[in-house]
Amino acid sequence: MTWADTLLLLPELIAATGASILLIVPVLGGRARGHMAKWAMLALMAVTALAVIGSTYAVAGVQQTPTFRAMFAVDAFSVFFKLLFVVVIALVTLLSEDFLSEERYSTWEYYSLLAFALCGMMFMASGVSLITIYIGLELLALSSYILAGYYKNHEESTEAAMKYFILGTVSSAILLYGISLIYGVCGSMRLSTIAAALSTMLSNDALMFGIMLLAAGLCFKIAAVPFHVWTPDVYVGAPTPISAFLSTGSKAAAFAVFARVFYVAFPAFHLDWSNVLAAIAALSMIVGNLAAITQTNVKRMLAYSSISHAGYSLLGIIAMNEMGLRGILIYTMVYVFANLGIWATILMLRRHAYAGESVEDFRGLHKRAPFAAFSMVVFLLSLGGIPPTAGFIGKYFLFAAAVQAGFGWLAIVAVVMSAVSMFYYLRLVVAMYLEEGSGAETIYSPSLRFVTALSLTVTLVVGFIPELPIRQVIESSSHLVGRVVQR
Amino acid sequence: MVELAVFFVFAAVAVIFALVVILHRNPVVSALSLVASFFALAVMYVLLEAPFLAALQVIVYAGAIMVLFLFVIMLLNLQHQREETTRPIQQALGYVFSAAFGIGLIFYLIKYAWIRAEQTTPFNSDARAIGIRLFEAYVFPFEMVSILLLAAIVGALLLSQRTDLRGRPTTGVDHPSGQNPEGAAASPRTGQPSFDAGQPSPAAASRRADPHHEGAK
Amino acid sequence: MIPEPLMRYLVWPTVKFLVAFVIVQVVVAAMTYIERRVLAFMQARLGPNRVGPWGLFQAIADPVKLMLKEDIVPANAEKVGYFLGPMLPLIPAFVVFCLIPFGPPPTFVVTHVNVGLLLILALTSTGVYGIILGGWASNNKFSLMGGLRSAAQMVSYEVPFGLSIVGVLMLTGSFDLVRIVRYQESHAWNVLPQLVGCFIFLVAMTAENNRAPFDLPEAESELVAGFHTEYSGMKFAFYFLAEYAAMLVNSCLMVSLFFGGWSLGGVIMGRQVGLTTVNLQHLGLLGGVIGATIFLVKVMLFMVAYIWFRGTFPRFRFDQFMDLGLKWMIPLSLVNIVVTGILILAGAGTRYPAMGEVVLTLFGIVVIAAVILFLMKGPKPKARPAGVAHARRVSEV
Repeated sequence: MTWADTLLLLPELIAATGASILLIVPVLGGRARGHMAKWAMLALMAVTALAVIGSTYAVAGVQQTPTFRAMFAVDAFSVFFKLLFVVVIALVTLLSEDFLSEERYSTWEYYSLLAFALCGMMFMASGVSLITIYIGLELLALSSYILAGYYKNHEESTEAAMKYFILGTVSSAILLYGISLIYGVCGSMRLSTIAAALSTMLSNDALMFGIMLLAAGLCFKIAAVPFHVWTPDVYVGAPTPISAFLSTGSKAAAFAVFARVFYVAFPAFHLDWSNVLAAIAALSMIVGNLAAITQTNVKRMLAYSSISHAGYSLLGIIAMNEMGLRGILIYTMVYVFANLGIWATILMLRRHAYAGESVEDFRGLHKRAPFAAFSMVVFLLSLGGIPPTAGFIGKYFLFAAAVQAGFGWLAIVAVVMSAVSMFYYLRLVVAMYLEEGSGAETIYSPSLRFVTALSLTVTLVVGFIPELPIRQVIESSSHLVGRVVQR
Repeated sequence: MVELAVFFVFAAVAVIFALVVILHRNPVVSALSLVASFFALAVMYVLLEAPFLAALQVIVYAGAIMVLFLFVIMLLNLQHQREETTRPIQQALGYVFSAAFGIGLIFYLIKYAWIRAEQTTPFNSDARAIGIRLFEAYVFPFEMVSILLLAAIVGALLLSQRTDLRGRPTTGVDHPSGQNPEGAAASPRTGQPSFDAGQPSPAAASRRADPHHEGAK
Repeated sequence: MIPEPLMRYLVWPTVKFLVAFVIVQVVVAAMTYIERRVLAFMQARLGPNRVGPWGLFQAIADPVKLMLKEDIVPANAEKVGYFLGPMLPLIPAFVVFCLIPFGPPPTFVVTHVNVGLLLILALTSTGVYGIILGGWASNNKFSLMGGLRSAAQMVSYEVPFGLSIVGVLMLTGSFDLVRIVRYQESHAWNVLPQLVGCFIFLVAMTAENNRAPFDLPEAESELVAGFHTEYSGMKFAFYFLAEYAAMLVNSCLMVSLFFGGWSLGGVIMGRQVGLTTVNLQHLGLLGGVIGATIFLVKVMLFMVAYIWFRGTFPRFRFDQFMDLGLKWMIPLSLVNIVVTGILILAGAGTRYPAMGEVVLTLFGIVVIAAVILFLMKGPKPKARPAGVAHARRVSEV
């Protein structure tokens, strides 16, 4: 370990130190200045982003710089995700402003936990050993459990936190069990060493069992179908900004891990696990979309939609080719921004101090807030995958990858289910534009406006000028894809 | 030969007590059975020539963590919790899937147990070797865990805090006077129920009356 | 004739264990008498003086009384837990005696484990289950509160208890009590370089044993008799026995870790001076007996110190007690570890390897002096709530 190694770790160090500073401030007398917390958090995010960008210079020209005995690596893939995480956390910070000023909970600790979650997510993106990945995942999960229960006065929030915690702990145990089996077979937790050990190995039941348990643990984090039961309750019960965080940042981090682990470590056994994951993906798409149709609560609907999107993204992992990995990266980004925009709109609607939850709250929104209504339409179209928006690009990559890899039937399921999903997305559009009525009142703060505008920009830019992001994504994923091609 | 006998005896003990943990209705018995199971596990470590791990297993799990578990169970006075089965179909499905999972697990493990893992280096499990491994090879995950624990502590404090910034209760119904409706059961500084029933002043003692004591009256 | 391995692995350990067991019983019986006499002396009373010469047979009369008493089981008690409660703490308390070297090896060492100290810590840490279980199973609020206090107390003081030993481990580099004792012969008694560690150990061991001034689980002015309120007869005697056995274990640890174990002398300029391990081993069995006697005398000094504490200090209030453990003892022991580590590293490379230990001794003296000065200064008078001030006035009248 040298100073250079430590420099590569700078973004994580800054996030962890920043989180600790945010904790100490109220003790030193900053308790009263709760409104300062937001700016401190945004400053921290800015510094972290700079550090992440700075670490790209370390990887310029080198594919990967593994440090700390190859447990932590900075590469273009991790930098891509880390930047995404920082932006997500910054936007969630902006979304949280109103929630925190209304409710009388300590702001500093809230942001501190968000920063800890960011730290965990960055460890997940950079981890190249199962042990670092696991600890990063736990750090994210622990922070999320607590944040989900931050509404201590609300029974629903406590219930959500409890459900999330218990199911999350079980899934962590399953994940850990899978890791232990893989370690037992391969003798290492390093992804590259595992890949090397597997390439000389015939099919092995214990290993397959380990891979399946690992996949099950990760499927819980991305909320894919047999492991999705927590999602609707938690998204509805948790504070709305935290629901936004769980459906975007937390999920994106899990996908980063999913992609890295499966693309780097297990390509040799692709034939064995791809069918199981394909079944999971198909189930997620079908159950998620069909269940979403019947929902009247928008948060619940978004939860089921989020389940179905986990199914779409899984296509990229099942396909196990260049197109698939690029698809995951680009789809994650697109999905994150579209979702954040929708959550911002939900936060804007209020009915007696509570965020708008039912579809009726959206009635006639285009008259009261034309910009929000318009951007909402764009986000919904993007989630549905309609051409001029970003969602189309993402879905195109994923579906094409599945077809390329010989999973044509899965691609057909995905297309059909996308069409089904438009049904409930358009129901919101109909409520906003065609139905008259008094929906919830709107409080459109500058922060929410900024989040919406930024998400809208990204969604439209990726939709209309896809070359730029695609080039970036190719660059970010090339070294992982390189390994796949070598196979 | 002796080792094998010891192994099977303590393996049986571990499994039986583990079953008691999940099957017994009384949480206190469950917790104590878990302790017994941990002891049996510690014997396994001794058999694996890792006495250091065995001692740590007992100190950390049996000596500290489970004591706290028992503490909480007794403090909440959870006795004979019975829950009505509200969704019998889901419960049945749960049993079926767990059974399938368990059978699959046992099947694979039995199938795999006959393949010997290759031992490359002699297993060294004394404190010095573990310390060196922990602080050289695994120093990075070790430090990560310290961040994890910090976040966990913060979370535990936040969730258990009974008052908010302005000293009002954050659990239960809002009380107009801003006082804790439970008769200020929480001591103002620690926010936890106080056990110091023997206050020098009778006034203070009655103010600090614990929910448990109130139940006794 | 018994085959040799059987002798070596079964018969001799059993004999040794039985001897140790008997010694423990005798010491505990003696302690009941000593405690009452010493306490009486401190409080200007006579104490037991009727049964036998100087009341000596009181030590026999007490157990007989306990054995003959009626054994009462509360109607609504959890029967199994109520029976198990007093038994559980006895098991670790006696098993631990197999791991403590009472005299120079090989005679007075029952088993020799290279992580002996850790195993002792592990076993003693489980003694609390009996107290918690008994308190809970009695189905009595006071018993439950006593058990809960005991759990909180044990868990809180387990940490400084363990951390205070770390300094010794760093100096000696072993978990093996025999090696720790022999290290002290070639250097100095660990109490000198580890003055702070010894101080913390002393406080923590008193707390671990629920002894005054930390006997909050059985504080009679608050909880009737705490966790053993409902216990009588032999079951109560078991708790009593376990407590004294645990005290004995901790005193043995104290002597082995900090006060040179069975040896009385040292290795000076390469020569064995006084009753060191090597010299005692030359004397054969006699040497073993001498070593064990020295050990027992040292141990009894600490047993008497327990009584001394009981006679001297007023009981802590529970929150003060937890503050002491969590806010003072743990940070202090961590500082001790860091300073010890730094000084060992600093002394290692130099021409004066003992320098680190000398500086450590000075450090210890400074810290203890600071603590004493701080205590003598007394707490700052704080603004008290009205109720307390009133109560105080009443008491001052």
